[in-house]
Amino acid sequence: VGNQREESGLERSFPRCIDALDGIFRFVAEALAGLSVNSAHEFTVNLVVEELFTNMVKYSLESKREISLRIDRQNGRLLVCLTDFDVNEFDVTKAPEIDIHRPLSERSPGGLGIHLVRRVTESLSYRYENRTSTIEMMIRLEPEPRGTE
Amino acid sequence: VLEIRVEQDGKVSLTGRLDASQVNTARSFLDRLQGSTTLDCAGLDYISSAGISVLLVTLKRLQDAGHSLRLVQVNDRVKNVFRYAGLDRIFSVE
Repeated sequence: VGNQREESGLERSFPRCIDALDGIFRFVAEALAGLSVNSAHEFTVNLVVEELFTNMVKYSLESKREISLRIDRQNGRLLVCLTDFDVNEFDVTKAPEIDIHRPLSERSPGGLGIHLVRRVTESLSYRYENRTSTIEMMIRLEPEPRGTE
Repeated sequence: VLEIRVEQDGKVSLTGRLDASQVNTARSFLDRLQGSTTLDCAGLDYISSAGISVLLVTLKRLQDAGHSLRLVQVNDRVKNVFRYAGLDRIFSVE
């Protein structure tokens, strides 16, 4: 596990397995404290990171590389960046929106994670080059995190 | 970490985090529930789509058998996840 502190953010790499979530949540708490971000935002950051990290683990089976997570604070926002190396392209921003108004008999879990990410972030972007997927999310810090209002 | 247990009053309490790493633990417990059930979520700090999916499967199974699944003492942040998912109209979330 690598660890590198830069001017304002913190970056760490995690093994591509679901059991890495505990370490990821600890890292998020540590990063937010280091960036002097209110812990009220921790729920939202954990949610978006879990949803996208688990997607990478489940669907990019061809890679054995660790997944990098970086958290920065910029202009009243949190910038959360996940980087997945040696993978095929999958643009999460193009994933179809789910219909949350369907009745229980027609509901399935598919697509719910991306829907939640879209709901609680201010922006979501995807970049793919040299077999590397990079997902960036902006989360508004003030006045209240969108996921907890 | 997630802890699930049946309390003396018959409610099932969830404590901790219901995330993707805990769904197998949750599923193995919830799959054994029979009859209408109340989940006490006072100690549930966090839920993701993976956790919601387990509850969704449990709700469908119980409703198909003519029973109900009620979630009580749900904190606002967890409640918001249900609302964003459009499931606050499907689950009884209090």
